[in-house]
Formats: sequence, C-alpha cells, structure tokens
Amino acid sequence: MWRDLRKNKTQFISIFLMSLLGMLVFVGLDSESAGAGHAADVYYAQYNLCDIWISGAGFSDDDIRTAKKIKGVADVEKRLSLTGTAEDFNDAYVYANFLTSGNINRLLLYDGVPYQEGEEGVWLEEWFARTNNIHVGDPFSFKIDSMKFEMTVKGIIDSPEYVYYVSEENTMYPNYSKCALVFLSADSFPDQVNMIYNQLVVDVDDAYTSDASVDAIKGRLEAAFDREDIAVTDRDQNLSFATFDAEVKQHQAMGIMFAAVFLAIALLGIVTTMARVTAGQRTQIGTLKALGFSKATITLHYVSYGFVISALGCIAGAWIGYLTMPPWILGMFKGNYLIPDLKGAMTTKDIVATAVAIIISTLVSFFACRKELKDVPAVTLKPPAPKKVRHSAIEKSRLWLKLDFSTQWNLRDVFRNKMRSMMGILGVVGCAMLLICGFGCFDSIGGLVDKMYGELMTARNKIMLSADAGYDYAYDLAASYRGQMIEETSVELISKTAKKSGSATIIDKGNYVHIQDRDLKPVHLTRDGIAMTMKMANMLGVDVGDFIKWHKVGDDEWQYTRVSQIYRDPSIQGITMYRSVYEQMEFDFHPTAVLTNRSVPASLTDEDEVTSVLNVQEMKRAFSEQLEILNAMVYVMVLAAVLLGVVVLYNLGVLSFVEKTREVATLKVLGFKSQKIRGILQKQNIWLTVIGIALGLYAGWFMLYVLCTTVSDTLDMYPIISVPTYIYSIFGTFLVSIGVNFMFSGKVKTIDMVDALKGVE
Amino acid sequence: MSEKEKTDQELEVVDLEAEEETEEKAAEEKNVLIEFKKVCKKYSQGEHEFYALKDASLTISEGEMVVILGPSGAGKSTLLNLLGGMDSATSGEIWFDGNDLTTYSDNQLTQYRAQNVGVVFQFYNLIPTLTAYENVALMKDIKNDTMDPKEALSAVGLADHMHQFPSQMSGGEQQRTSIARAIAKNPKLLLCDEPTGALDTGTGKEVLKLLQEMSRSKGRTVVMVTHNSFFADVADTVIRVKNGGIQSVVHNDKPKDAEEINW
Repeated sequence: MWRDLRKNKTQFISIFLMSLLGMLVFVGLDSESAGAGHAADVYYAQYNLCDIWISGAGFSDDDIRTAKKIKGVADVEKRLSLTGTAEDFNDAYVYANFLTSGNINRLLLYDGVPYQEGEEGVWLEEWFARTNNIHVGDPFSFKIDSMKFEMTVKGIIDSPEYVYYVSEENTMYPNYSKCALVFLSADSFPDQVNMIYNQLVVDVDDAYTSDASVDAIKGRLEAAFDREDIAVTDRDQNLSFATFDAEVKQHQAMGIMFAAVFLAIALLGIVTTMARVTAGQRTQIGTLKALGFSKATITLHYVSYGFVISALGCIAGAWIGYLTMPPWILGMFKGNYLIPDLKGAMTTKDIVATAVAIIISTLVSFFACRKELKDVPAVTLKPPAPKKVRHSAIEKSRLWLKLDFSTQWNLRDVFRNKMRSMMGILGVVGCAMLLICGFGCFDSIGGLVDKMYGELMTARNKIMLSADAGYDYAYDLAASYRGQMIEETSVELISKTAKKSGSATIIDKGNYVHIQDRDLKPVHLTRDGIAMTMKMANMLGVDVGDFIKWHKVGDDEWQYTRVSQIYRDPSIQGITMYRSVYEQMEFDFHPTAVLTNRSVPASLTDEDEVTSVLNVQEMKRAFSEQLEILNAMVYVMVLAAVLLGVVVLYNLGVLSFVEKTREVATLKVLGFKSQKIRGILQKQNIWLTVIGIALGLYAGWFMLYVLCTTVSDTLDMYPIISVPTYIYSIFGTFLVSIGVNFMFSGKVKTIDMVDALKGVE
Repeated sequence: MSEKEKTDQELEVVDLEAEEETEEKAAEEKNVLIEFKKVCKKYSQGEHEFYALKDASLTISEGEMVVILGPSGAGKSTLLNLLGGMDSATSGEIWFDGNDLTTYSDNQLTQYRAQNVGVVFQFYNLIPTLTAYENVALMKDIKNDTMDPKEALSAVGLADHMHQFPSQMSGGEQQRTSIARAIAKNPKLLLCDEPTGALDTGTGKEVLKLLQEMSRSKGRTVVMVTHNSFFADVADTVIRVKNGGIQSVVHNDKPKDAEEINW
C-alpha cells in the first residue's frame, strides 16, 4: 500500500491538501463564527440586551405603564439618547445615554464602580478610554448642543447594545478611539433644561423571544401607543446587533462556499486518482482475485486509500482550522466589534461535517474502484479494451482536415477526457474568479471613495457647524469662503410597506453636491419634490411619483411628499432636496455644514460655532487605511486562488501526463523533438486556461456583485473591476497555469523511449 | 550450462566460422548500411552492474531483411534500441550510412530517428485519439519527403479503414497501420520489435508477408527482433543473440516466403 501511495504521491498529496484546505476553511470559519456568535449571545443574555426600541419625541411614566401591560413584555425603561462632541479629545463624536435604572442593557464593568441610578459621573466605553489614556477618576467633559457636561469617570465599561457603532462623520467604518460612548444617570442632566426621554427600551420575556413573537409584541406596542411620532424597532433593525449578526452569517456562508469548492476538487481528485490506481493495477487485481482473495478484501484495500488520505486531510484540516482561523479573524474583529471573550468554538456541526466529508470521500473511492473490481478475473487479467473514441461533430466539417495534428490530437484528448478537462477548467475558473474578486474589492472600495469625495461631493473641505451656529453665521461663513450651505439631519421614512430611518440632505445654492441616477449618470436635482436614494427606495418599495410620509427625528408632524427622483449614493441612504423645497414645507433651513474649495485655517475650529473641519484628502486616506479586514480578505482570496490553481492543475497535470507517457514516448521514438512535444502538451493547457479565464472573469464579476450588493443596508456598492485588475488576474492565472504545466512538460525530456516498446502495464 | 546447450554452442561456433567467408562476400555485393564495432551497453542498478550487450559487432547491408533472434533478456532489445537511436552505447562504435551514432547529441539522434528510422512496435503504439489516416499523416510534422498517407495505407491494404480509430480496428489492422506509419517516412531502416507478438498466427503471417515485401520489392532494410525462431526462415540474414553477445550470423541464400512458414 505504501508503495502505491509513494508512486502516486503527487495525486495523493493534492487530495490530502484539498481535503485539508476544505476542512480548514470550513471548520476555521465555522468555529470562528459559531464562537463569535456564541460569545455575543452570552454577552447579550448576561447583560440583558433589550429586544425592542421605541423612539419618539417624548415618553412619560404613563407610557412605561402602557408598555408594561402588553403580554410578553418583561420590563421597560426610559432614557434619553443624544449625541455631542468631546472637545478635549479632538472633537470626538459622543453618544450619550442618560439612563434610569440601567437594568436593561446593563453595562459590562472593566474598572471603577458599577452604574448606579442617581450617581453623578460618567461611565465611559473601554476602547475610547484605553486609546485616549483615560482612567477611573479622570475628568471627562463633552458638549451636547450648548450644554457642557463636566464629569468624572466613574467606570470603564462596554455595552451589549453598542458592540458596533459609527460616528456620523464616518459612517463607513467604526473608529472607537475617535467616537466615545458614555452613559450617565438621568439626574446628571442640567436641571434648568427640560428633559424629555426620547427612547424606551423593552425587554421581552424569555418565552417570547422568537422572531414571530417579537413581531407580534411590536405590533401590540404600536397599537397601544397609537402615536405616529414613534418608531418601534427590533434587534434586526438595530445597527449594532444587525451588523454583527450579518458579519457572523457572512463568515458562515463564506466557510461553506470555500469548503464546497475545495472538497469538490478533493472528490474529483479521488475519483480520477483511484480510477487510475486501480486501472493501473488491473492485472494485479485479477491475480489477487484468481488467487482467491475475496472481492471484499480487495475492495477494502483500495477503498482504504481514499479513506486514509481523506481522513488524514480532513481531521488535520479541521484541527488546524480550529486552532488558527478563529484567533486570526477574531483578532481582526477586535477593532470592529466590542464583544468580550471572543474565541472560536468547535461545534457538533464541525465534527459532523468532518465525518461526512470522510464518508463521502470513502464512498467516492469505493465507486471509483468498483469498476475494475467487478469483472471476473479472466477479464481483469487481460489488458483493458482501448477506450472508445468517436468522431465528434466538428470533425465532419471541412475545417477539421485543415487542422494540424497537434490540434486534432488535443481536441480529441479534451473530448475523450471530459471529466479531466472540466476539472482543469474549473480550477482555472476558481483561480481567475478569486483573483478578480479579490482585486475587484480594492477597485470597488476605491471607486466608492472616489465617487463619494470626487463626484458626489466635490468640495475640498467640509466645515462642520455646531447646533449653536445660526443661519446668519453659516451664511457669513459661506460668503467668505465662497461655500455652499447644507443641512444634514436624520429622518424617518414611511411607505405603504415599510418604515426606515435614513438621513436627509438639504442643499442650498452652490455646486459642490451632485447626484447620479440609477445608471450612475450625473443628473440635476429637480425642484418638484424630494429625491430618494435607490437603496432606500428599494427598501421602502417606492418609485418616482409615489408619495411617502417622513419627518425629522424628534418632530411630531409628518410630511407627505412626492418622490420626484431616484438617485444613488454609495454611503448614505435617505433623501435629498433643495432648500426651496424644504422651506415650502415650512421648515427652517438650519445649515449643519458649509462646503468649500478654499483652504480653511486651523484656527476656525476654535470658534464655538465650528465643531470640526473635514479635509477630503485626509478623509480619503484615513478611510483606506482603515480597511484592514478587507485587505486580509483579499490576501486570503489571492492566496486561495493561487493555491487552488496550483493544486488542481498540478494534480491534473500528473494525471494527464501519466496517461500520456506512452504516447509521448512513442512520439519521441518516431522522431519528434522534445521541444515540439512540449508545445503540443502546452497547447491543450492553453486552451483550457483561456476557456477557464473567460468563465472565471464572469464568475469573478458575479461573486463581486453578490459581495457588493449584500454587504450592508447603508452601503450601495457596485462592482468595479479596473483594467489593471483584469490584467493582473488574467496574467496571474496564466502564470499559474503555464508554470504548473511547464513543470510537467519539462519531464518530456526524461521520459525513456524504451517505455514505448514495452507492453501496456 | 547443460550438456546439450554446450553442444549447440559449439555447433554454432563452427557455423559461424563456416559462414564467415560467405558473409564477407555478401557484404561486398551490397552497400553496408549499419556496422556495430565492439558495442557494449552497461546498465547499473544501484551497486549492481551488468552488460546487456558486450563487444557486439555486426554489419547489416542495405535492402536486407534481418531477423535478430534470441531468448528474453539476451540483449536483442538493447540491440534494437541502439539501432534505432533510442539509447546510447556505453562503448564501441555504431556506424550508420557513414556516420557514427555514438558521437551524436540528443538532438542529432532525434533527427536521425526522424529521417532514417521507421519503427513498428509490438503493441502498435498508435495514438488512440487519432484515426489511421491521422496516425500516418503525423509523419508530415517531422519529415519533409513523406509518402502520402493514403498511399502508405493502401500499400498495407487499409485503404478502406483510413478513418477508423485504433480502437475500432483489429490487432492485425492496427499493426498494419503502424507499418504504414513507419514506411510513410520513407526510412532507410525499418525496425520491428516483435511485430507479430500480439497477433494470432494468421494475422501475424500477413504482417510478416508485408514486411518481407517491403524488403524485397521496395528495397528497404528491415530489421526484426523476435524470439520466434520460425522467422529465421524468411530472413536474408539471421543474427542470434545470447547473453549479451552475438552468437551467430547466418545468411539464407533462399529465404522462404512468409506464407510457407508455420508456428
């Protein structure tokens, strides 16, 4: 047995590697995602993450009583959620929550004292505290509109409600060192200001936490309140919960996809290799049978190859995957998701999957060698009948006669070994697909950034205004910097079928803001209604001409407005309108930013009315630098692509070369030069590679398209594949394919011509 | 060595001496095509060394039909490989048409095979994915003045089977295709390795007849390696090999026709 293994070592090694890779990726990603999911579930349960949020203009204790009466509701708590800035920390964005009892969404305490209702002080998020070197007992001050809060840090914490959050300045990627999350007791709110609780958090009884029950409770809550100014949302609509959930699910899906590809290749490898081994040992099998070995014994012998190799590969892969992937990926999670105790967990699914993979491999090797084993010894002892070759359709054409020998030979060889050819093409497709998709990710993100800061917003600087800055201040600023005033605000939108929150952009005269239609062609914003982003329109199920209800968050009154245009925006989903349209609805235009191409002195931020000045170049750079996970993903894809290409093509190369040894030796005896024979062999490879690349380019585009469109609710990404990406991918695939083939065709020289004179083995 | 074998050998040695004179005469009559001078071929397997051929000397004239006879492992395959330029000698000289093959580079040997040698294999070695016609047409790729494939196939009586694949033909038909492929090159030397080894008697005889024709009417030099001693009767010259050496060279004045022999 060991002799057979050594003789076919390349094939067996590649089967081993493919089983190993398949299980490595599958178990790696599965244990990683299962572990991450589990850690999150434990965290959510232990710290009592709320199930439903009710946001609105104001809630009283009566409202709490109303909510508590509803069947399935375990507990309700009111709170005030606001945003502000921390001037001492580079104008960091601040999410401030003024809590009451704090029993729902309890805080995970790292240092200091636990949250206590009525206690003066601030509980600060751990990442921000650590990266900004803030400790318990240090002062921490921040501003909400004109209110200044000067507090002492009482505790360093994390919240189950905020495992993922982004500031409004950078909605694409979290940066927890520049975005602070703080919790305070409602008593800390200044007495002279009238405090309105704007949120209720609802904890659902453990018996009612299924999706359907939560939906039913949401319905009952909406009915009970019967107010139009509230939004009732559940966990799936919560940015933090949904983002993490989607991430986990994406990894699971990716694991299954990668594993399927690798395992399919391993199985194909087993089929071809086992068929070859048993066919090569036909006479030996016949002899063994003639000697009286039972069919079962012989079958067992050959099936054990498939079993041993795949078992070794699968188990090693599962183990390595479990040990390496979760720490690596979860390590990258650390800056993205604030969840304690993230570690991989092996699930029964992983064990079952490993067992199933081994069983399938064993079964496949059984079927592959059964063919040779079922014949009676007398037949098996004779050399096999030559494979049937038929004239294919193309040969009937006149063209065929004009083809040279090598083309004819290669064409027939391809058709005669359909399975092998298909596998070869598949390997190339996989390689090209992963390369295209990997490099395409860079292109698409790059394109997105260029679009955001180059086509849609063409100003070089964005001066962010505080809530204190009045219209006059903004007007003067715009006048002195030749800028354009805009107002950006959060809105809630309701169609006949759905309710979504989004953002509204109201633009004044100027030409720094542009919109693009569905086909990404620039269009002018019209004045006969509001324009809505395509993604938002899809989610709401509305089209041009439909009316929607909307209001600014915190407003009681609803607007009923016609959607006059659909446009696309990669990063912000919501609506855009002209100031005149906005003012017709009797809103006051309240600029929140001024866009300008002029350079802005740093001293401008010293003014109370200016919170920060965003420089587009810096934003672009910061954005690109933050895409660490994406980079890692691309590297994995490129590595997988090359590995896949090399292993598949090498395996096939060995197979096809071994099959052709005799023919090659014959050609040599007949007087063909080694160089020429290499050319002939390479020719077929080039055809298959070209076909594979052509299909792979399309598959890669499709994969990228799927990735882009499913990435998240707020991102409207579209696949962009640049010319260099095409060139790299095509060139890279060719390099792998030709390179691997070159290793074999080099062996033509070493083939002993005397082999040709010997009988069929 | 058994008593009988000893006697055989002595007898043949006598034979060899008796024939030497005739041999020289024959050699004068025709042009010498091939000459082996003290050719040795040594193989080593690990520490094991043995001579597959030792000090073999022989001459083959143009247009002759030569049968090399000998038991398995006697060195006849080695002889054939060296003749066909498929292997290189350890020492000695191999002259072909005035050139010493032992001085050739790999490329020159390839060229030699392409231009001068047609090989007929025991197991035909046709390219299974090519039709009979295409298998023969293959030769156009390596040599300029090849025969028309149709003509070559007609010469072996396969004009009707031109577009069949090897798998659709009988063993005899496949071997005839293999011969057609070999002669299509118009080679000076036709080397046959047990050409009837995989065929039944009837078919084998047809193939043998064909080879004899090639030598007789077309004036080609045909060298056939076999362990079947009946074939000695059809040859112009019979070279017997044993234990890596030339045991005897016998000239038949009146070779039999292929139809006349039986095995």
